[in-house]
Amino acid sequence: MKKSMRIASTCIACLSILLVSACGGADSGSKEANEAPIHSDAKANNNAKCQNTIKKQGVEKVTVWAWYPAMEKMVDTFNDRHDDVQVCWTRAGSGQTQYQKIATAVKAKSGLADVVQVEYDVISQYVSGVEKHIVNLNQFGADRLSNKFTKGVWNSVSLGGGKSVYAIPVDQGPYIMMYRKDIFDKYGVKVPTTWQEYEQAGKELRQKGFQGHIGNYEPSGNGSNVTLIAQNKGKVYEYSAAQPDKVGVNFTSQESKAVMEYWQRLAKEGTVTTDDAYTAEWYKKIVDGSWATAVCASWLVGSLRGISGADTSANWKVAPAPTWDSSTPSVNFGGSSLAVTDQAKDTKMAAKVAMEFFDNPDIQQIAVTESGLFPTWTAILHSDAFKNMTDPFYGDQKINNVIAPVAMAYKGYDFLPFQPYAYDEQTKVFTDIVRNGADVSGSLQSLNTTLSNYATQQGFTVKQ
Amino acid sequence: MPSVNVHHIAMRSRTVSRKENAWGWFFTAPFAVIFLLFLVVPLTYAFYVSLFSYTQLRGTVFSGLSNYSRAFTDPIFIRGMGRVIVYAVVMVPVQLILALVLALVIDSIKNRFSSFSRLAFFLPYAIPVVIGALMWGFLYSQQMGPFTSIFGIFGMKAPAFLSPDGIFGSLVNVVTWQWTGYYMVILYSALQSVPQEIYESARLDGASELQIALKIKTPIIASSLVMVTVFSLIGTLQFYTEPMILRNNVPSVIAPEYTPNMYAQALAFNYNQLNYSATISFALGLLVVLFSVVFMRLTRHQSGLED
Repeated sequence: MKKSMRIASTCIACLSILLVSACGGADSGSKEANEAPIHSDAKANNNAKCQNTIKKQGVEKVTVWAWYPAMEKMVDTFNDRHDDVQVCWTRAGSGQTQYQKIATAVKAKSGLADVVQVEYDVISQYVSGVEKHIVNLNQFGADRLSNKFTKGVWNSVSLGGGKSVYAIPVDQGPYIMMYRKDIFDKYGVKVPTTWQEYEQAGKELRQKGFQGHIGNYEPSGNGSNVTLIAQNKGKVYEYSAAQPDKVGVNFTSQESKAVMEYWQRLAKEGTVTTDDAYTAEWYKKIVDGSWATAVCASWLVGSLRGISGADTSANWKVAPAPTWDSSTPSVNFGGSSLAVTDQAKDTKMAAKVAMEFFDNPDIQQIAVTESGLFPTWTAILHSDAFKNMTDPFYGDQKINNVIAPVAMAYKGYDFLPFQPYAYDEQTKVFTDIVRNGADVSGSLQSLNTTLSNYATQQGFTVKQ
Repeated sequence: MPSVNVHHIAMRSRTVSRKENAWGWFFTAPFAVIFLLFLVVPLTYAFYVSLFSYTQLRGTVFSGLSNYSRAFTDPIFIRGMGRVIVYAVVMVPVQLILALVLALVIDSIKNRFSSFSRLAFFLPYAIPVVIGALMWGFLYSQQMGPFTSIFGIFGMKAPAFLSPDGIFGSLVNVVTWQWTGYYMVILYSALQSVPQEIYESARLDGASELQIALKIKTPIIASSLVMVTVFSLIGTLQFYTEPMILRNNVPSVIAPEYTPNMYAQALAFNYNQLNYSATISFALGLLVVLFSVVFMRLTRHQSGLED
């Protein structure tokens, strides 16, 4: 009994020492500067395990976590051309799975890769408050790269377009509309270019006997719903590197209300369905003719091939997303970037990898053609080769002629430093609005309150 | 002289018992080490963590038990708890009654068919929970599942299994499907250990098979029934895997904090609220212990655990 007590108390003592030192670490970090710390141990990764095979021996390694398709080929290409550094790559799961691994490594204070793939909407949560886990690349000259990328994504990685640069953009998801030309032709309905026309066309299709729906509104679409509201100039989230302790939440604006009222009406009329997004069922319904359009990010364009149960008579085309009026901005949904972590063994070299990895025509070529990434590199977006690419899936339409201008015109918008929480709350309220006919004004007001309260509880100041 | 003798014997038995004690410790050591390392230490650590509160801007500060008062007044936690209690109220009796009926039926028909059905009912338990839930997710699908076409044959619409109204029944079904066979096997083996003479004398007294099943077999295995109920109760209060997997199909129907365990997971891994997550886990553990203790006390007569 006594012995076990002693063991238990020793354990508690050890743990408290661990915890106290952990807290102490965070404190000293924030005292030094408002930035994540940098390191310079070139040999620390010598025995790192990689998913790719590194041929060059005795060269400094930089570890990378990324889930891009065809990543191995791009890593091999990069390593072939570099004698000063070799990328040691691991696929640590995609999206949320990888973020959970980041969270675990951050808590453990070890085990995080030097460079990690992060989507634009999660960058701010690794930059704010005590969670400064990605390095400001400005100190390594990243701000000079801004003109190589589209304005919108640069705005996202710099958190507001200032001097700080927290990641190097890779791909993006310009918002467009894919539609089934065959369905519109069959029922003699005009392909909509505005949201008013979209509603009209949806009704017409149903009246003329189309068994499916014109499209789907996804209450659980996360980023897609931020995008839909942004398209009506509603700025629901605000956060910038310039004011890292402040957040803005604004779902109560007229713009946000108008968008949600629109989708509530369409759902109520039965013009659109309100299925959940990104499920196997959702993908199938896109290709099997249940929906005549999919208003979505460009990355969906490449993911429709090879889904089983597809309607073989489908004639897909890509068009700009429907607009509210002539001043509707071009918007984006999704995309990702490479960030350097505070656990990078040799921060400077890691920054070099993040900045230069995709800065090569051959790798960009693989990224565009084999990974299916929609580029953020202006040089590619402007090139004729890219603009003239045709795709048999879209009846040899030069789809980049439609998508590239959206990518260029996108200005960027902000995400909260606790975006996963905000998305989950968003989903609950939007579901209630479109499925249960909840009062739009009241629901958005309560969403605003929930998120503002959470922000305050987390120590942020909420902009009024 | 006799007193010396007694003293001597007592001495010897003490040394023997000490030696036996040492061996006893030696044999329990592997368990004890693992128990300490993987249960006691993590629990202590989790409790310690739960005494701190974290905010994104200010980091971690000691806050004593304030997280607990927050947890027990947290509407999300309370709603989740209420939800699993409703699940328990429905799911535990359903599984228990089904398992008992199956065990009694299989026990009374002793032929090849009974051993085959025993295996068949037990099979779902052999399938990993995640795989089972994935499979049901597919079966429930309106687009890809078989029910749409099966109901279609009769000109009917398949029920919306994964709708807000249908999800409760769908989840109850998945769990019942998976666990009933397991409980049945426990009850069936309890029945096997009942001496046949009791049944014979009951038959001689003119008891029917139904009477034997209800009035003799069931009371005799009461302690196993209590055990199975406790298993099922704890499992239901800790409800996690099945809703977590089905959530991939319908994220808007199953909220991330659908059950307390899911809430703890979301807090820790999606919202970076590790300290509060530890509190929720501990609070849930506390309630599970409470429920189990109350249930064991209520059934101490049946379980034979009364002192």
